[in-house]
Amino acid sequence: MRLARACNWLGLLALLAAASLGLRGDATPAARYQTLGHKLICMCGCQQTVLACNTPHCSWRGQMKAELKSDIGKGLSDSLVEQEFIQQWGTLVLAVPHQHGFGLLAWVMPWLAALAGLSLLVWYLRRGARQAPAPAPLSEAELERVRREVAEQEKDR
Amino acid sequence: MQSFGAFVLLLALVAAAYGLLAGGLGIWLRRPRLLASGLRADLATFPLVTAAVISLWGLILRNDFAVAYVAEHSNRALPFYYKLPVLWSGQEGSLLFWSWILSGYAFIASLTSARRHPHLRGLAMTVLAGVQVFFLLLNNFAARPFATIPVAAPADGNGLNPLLQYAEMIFHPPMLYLGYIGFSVPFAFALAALIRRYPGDRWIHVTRRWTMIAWLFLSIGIVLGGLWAYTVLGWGGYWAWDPVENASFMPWLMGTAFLHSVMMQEKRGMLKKWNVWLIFGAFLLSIFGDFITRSGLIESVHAFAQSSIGNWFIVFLALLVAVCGFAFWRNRDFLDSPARLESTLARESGFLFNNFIFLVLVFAILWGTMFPVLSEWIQGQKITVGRAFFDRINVPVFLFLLLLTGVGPVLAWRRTSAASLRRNFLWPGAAGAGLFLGLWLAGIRNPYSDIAFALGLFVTIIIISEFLRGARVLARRGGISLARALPQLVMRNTRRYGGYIVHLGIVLLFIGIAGSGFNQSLQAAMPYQAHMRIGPYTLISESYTENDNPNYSSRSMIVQVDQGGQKVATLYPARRFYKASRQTQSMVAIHTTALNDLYLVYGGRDPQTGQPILHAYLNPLMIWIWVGAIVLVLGTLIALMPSRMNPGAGPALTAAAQSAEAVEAHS
Repeated sequence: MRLARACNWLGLLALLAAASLGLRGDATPAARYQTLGHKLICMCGCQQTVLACNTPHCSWRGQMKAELKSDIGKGLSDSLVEQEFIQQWGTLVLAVPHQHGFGLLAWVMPWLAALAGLSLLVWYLRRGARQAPAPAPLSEAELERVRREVAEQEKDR
Repeated sequence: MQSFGAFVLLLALVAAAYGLLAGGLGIWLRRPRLLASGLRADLATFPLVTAAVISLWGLILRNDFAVAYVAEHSNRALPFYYKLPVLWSGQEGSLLFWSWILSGYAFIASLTSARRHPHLRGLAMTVLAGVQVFFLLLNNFAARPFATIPVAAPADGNGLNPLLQYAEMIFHPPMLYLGYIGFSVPFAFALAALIRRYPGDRWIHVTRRWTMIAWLFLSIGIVLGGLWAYTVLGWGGYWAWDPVENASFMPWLMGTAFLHSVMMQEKRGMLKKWNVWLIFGAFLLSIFGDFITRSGLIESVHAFAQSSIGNWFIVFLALLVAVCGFAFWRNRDFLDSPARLESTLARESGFLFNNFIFLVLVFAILWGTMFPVLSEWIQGQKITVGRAFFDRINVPVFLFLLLLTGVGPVLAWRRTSAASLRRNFLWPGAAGAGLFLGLWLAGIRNPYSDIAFALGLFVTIIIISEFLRGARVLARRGGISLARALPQLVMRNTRRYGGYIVHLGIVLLFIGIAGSGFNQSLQAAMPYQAHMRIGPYTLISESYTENDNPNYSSRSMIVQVDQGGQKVATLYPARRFYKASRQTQSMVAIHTTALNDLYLVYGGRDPQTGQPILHAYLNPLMIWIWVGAIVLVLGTLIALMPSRMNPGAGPALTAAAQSAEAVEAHS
């Protein structure tokens, strides 16, 4: 039982540890251009980010890239650059929702659902284990058969 | 031919509607002859829809531009082999294609179940007739493929979308549709078994088998879609979490969950209610996927034009949910199970965790796909949910799933001891941890990718030891070599070992996907004899070439690829201008090795300097995605084959096989 509980916690910890990986920041203007360029959607309708858009003769990509370079050059912070773009095109320009306000709901809901599902699962497993009858003792003949098969298996390993 | 097509399509609707009514009334009023006549009408639907499909193809081949669909999606210069995909390139044709595949499935299911499941067949076919009626209503009234142009026919058509003029597009949509629509059959059998309170577990076998077939086709369809995106769209990737991609992935995930948890029902009689809802869910998600692709509700490169067809789907989906919910509520006691979990450390709990992970993925993907619509409804402002969102939410969950791929199969049914866990996991776990450390110390650092490589090794070792353990017993007892014992072991329990092969395919897919953590890309102007370095390659711009034919004109760069001072390839990234549709399309050039793909896209000429632009991508381990997909398909095909206890062996080997089975049951 203790082992089972430990496994449940380990599973949860593994999930959370994996989720928290990969959080790092970039500082140089070139790195910021790369990061922000992949956070903004090109407005040509390709549904790709500004830096990934490859629509032939796209009339938006160049303009958006130039604005991004100019904003970074002016020393605007990442959030101010994003705000500049939102002012111009609305929230549609962001590749992912904001982590505040209504956008936060997008990020939180999958994890809340996972947590609720996991709680239900752990409850179901514990209830099942509590209600399970104790295993019936094996007869001597059954024990002999199992010993024989285990010995066979060990020989083959 | 146009009138004939429209007429047989209407006849098909009449036949399907009769099948639904006569079948339903025959079962309700206990009139076997009425039911039998309904079943015959169901069978007649397939040849009628086939005649309609042949008519449309005939019109396309004859360039009959008086038919609006042909004028919209084809043209005279379109090569013969690309006239085939014209059938599914537009809303009306693809819905007819859907009806055709559905009627084909119903035809085969009706014939194959006549002897094996005579009591289930009537209601299952009636359910399928109901689904068929919906799609034929669309074909006849909402999206008519044989509608004519009210004015004079144009001299030529608009042509096929250039994005569809690739070999992958001849196979990708049919495979995807065979997968999507395939879920209708297990759904029909599950619903029929529930309503009829069909005794025993035989219905679950037919449901599982049909689900595997649908799952196989959907897997092939999804991978071909990825291959198409990779080789055609020219952005260097194969999966963008586009809403339409997500729409195909959700029923696949739900079907995968079902294929795992159904084993608990077969072995232990557990999770009957859960399984029924999983198969209902897979079917409902496939119809939902069809709805979001066709309604214009979401924006996607794959979506059909916005139309009012979405309202039909909303009504149909609501009806389906109501029917499923009502049938379940009325018959829920039929699905009660006396079996209980005996331990939290057992294969049963492994399957439950597996199902939990699949459901979390389905929810996260559904949530992300629908969030822009939801935000617009609630806030009046659309919030984009792009690839980065899905990657950040789903990647850790997928890694947990990969871990379970290794853990689940070696847990014993009912109860697993701590000693057995240690014995099975110690060395694979140590090898995985060692690989992670080794990669990190060697400077190959990407947390998610390194974890995926480590888990991949962990799972592979466990699967290989499972094969070796069973084969050694067979080899020793039968006095044969290990190499001869291995295929016999697989054939003795095709489902189990086919499943392991599928898991190996999944591991390879993960390795290929993990390679993307180390992708590189460069973009530069490449005048004559200019050089570019990317990864181990040096690219030299050699020359340019132009080509012109009735369908398109093209301009290609000729790029020499050197590695270590030696020429290894010449690539021709190109740009085509399709004359009928007046659209430009990139033709990607790829040099593939076991370690990486060099992927070149010709970006046209710089408007200021007039120099040609080359985009170069280096995508590590890409080939393993496609190899993994082939292994997955192979494993599924093996799992679909019947097991043979005695595949050409003598009595000694049969005894060995039985003994090995007994040992495995206790391991």
